[in-house]
Amino acid sequence: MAERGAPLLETRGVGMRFGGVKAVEDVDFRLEEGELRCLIGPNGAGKSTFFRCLTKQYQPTSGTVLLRGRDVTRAPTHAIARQGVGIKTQVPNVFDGLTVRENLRLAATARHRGRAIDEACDQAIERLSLKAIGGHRLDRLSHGQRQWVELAMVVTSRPALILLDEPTAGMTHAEVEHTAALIQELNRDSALIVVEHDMQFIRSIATGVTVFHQGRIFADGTAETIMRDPRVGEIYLGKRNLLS
Amino acid sequence: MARVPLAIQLGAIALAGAAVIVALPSFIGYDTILQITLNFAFAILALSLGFVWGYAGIFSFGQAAFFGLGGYAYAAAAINFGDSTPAILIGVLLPALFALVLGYFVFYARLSSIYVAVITLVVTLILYKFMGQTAKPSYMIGNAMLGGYNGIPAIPPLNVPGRPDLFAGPEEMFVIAGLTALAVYIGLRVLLAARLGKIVVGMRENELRMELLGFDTRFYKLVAFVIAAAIAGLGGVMFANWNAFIDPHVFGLGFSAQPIIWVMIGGLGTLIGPILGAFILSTLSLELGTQKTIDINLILGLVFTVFVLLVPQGIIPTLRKFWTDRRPARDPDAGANASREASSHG
Repeated sequence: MAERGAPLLETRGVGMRFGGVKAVEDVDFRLEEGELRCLIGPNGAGKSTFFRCLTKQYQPTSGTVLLRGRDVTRAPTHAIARQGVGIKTQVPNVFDGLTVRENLRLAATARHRGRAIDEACDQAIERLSLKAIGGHRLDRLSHGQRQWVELAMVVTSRPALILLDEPTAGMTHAEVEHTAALIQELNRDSALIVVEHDMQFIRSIATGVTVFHQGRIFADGTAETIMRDPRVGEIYLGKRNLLS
Repeated sequence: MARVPLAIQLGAIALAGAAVIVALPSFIGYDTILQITLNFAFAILALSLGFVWGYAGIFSFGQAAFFGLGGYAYAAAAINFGDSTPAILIGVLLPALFALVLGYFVFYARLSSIYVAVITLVVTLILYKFMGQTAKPSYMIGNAMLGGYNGIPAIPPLNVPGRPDLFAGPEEMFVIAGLTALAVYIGLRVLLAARLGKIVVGMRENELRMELLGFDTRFYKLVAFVIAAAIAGLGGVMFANWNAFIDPHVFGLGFSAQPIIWVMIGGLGTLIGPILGAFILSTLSLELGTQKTIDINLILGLVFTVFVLLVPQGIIPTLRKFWTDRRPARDPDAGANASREASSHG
């Protein structure tokens, strides 16, 4: 039933209310195949809520969500994942008692059988440069490493779209740089939506940016134009120019 | 220590276990045979809870209800058919079906674990009340009278399929119950090593992650719940056989709490622990029952309290920890393996 030429992801008038609070309102959003887009905005702008509406951790109270033209507004989280969407949450959701490889094997079990499981694991380990820590247990890894393992788990299903919620939160400078490189590597096969705060990071992955403000889309554009936009600077930090 | 492949490990356990079970009746007294047969039935019940709670992370207060349903279903079917073979099947299928319906509403409504515990307990107590008021002659299933609080007496024993005249005496029953418990243990070990087992444990560890990976956790919880109910039902079949009698006390609060205590004392997250817990406590309560000085429940309560305070992880995990902590001193190679073993023992 997928429409030909339909965008990979599209939302029409998506809104999310909590009681009387409109956290997200009337969001029309489009993402094409292979695109890399960052969602930014000040705290409480609704970007994380919008993210959770896409993953169905929240059920949007209005509007429709389309995946390659197919209406997935009422689909539960696991069904979204099965349609080729890989999701990484803000706090790493990994299996602490298992090794890196066991984590990946479990993730790969979702979409593969038999030998394909090991192939998918090998590939994910290779792409995210995790070979050195493959046998380590997750509870013995650093925060940054845990984030990368979670990315690798997401990759095992070879998703068409990857959703990342603040992938660099709590990382050191070197870890942020490495993560930026990993995201570009992932972008070779998948479209990505990244919720992010760190402007330096967004510039380093040189990407399209959508700015959220008060639950609505405030501006759209390339990283450069958005950062030069004085209106964005104002809502974001109360500054005239984000580059200054 | 080289790691032994699971198939060889389980094969050895199966052979050794079967040999002991078959040989044992010749060496022990009649009373002990009866006592251990009961322990086997309870061990099957304990295994069902050990699996669903310890591995799938579903705290079911209702395992005793499935056990009781299995017993009742076997009793009614065996009385009607006069042959135990289809009755065993019904004793397993009825609790499984009941769990399928109950579990569907509980898990597809995404109730949190505390509500799952409350609902399974309440359903058990409803069954207790319901079975208690079935004394009227109108509560007949074919030829079987449910009998209210008086229960169903004279339940036919297991017989050779198709030959109701060739039935199991206490020694045969001992062997059958023992082999059944062994088969359930091995079956669960295999299940946990397979895809379903990995998924179920992953769900216990991090349900959200499993959903984000594309697993329908509602479905897998339901599957685990139904499997556990079928196993508990099989335990109930063995129990009804041992007793030749069943009454509503299997749905009572006291009986429902027992498997939980067995699993906690033996060790949550292991399979051998629940078996051990069932054996120790069931034997203890029988031995204590022969003396008339102190109320049994007082002592069992004390045992339970001491365990919760001093050995909160249960016997088996505590022994395992003691063992792995000791090993590095004697075996320099052990450190590298310790973490692998910690995540892979069954």
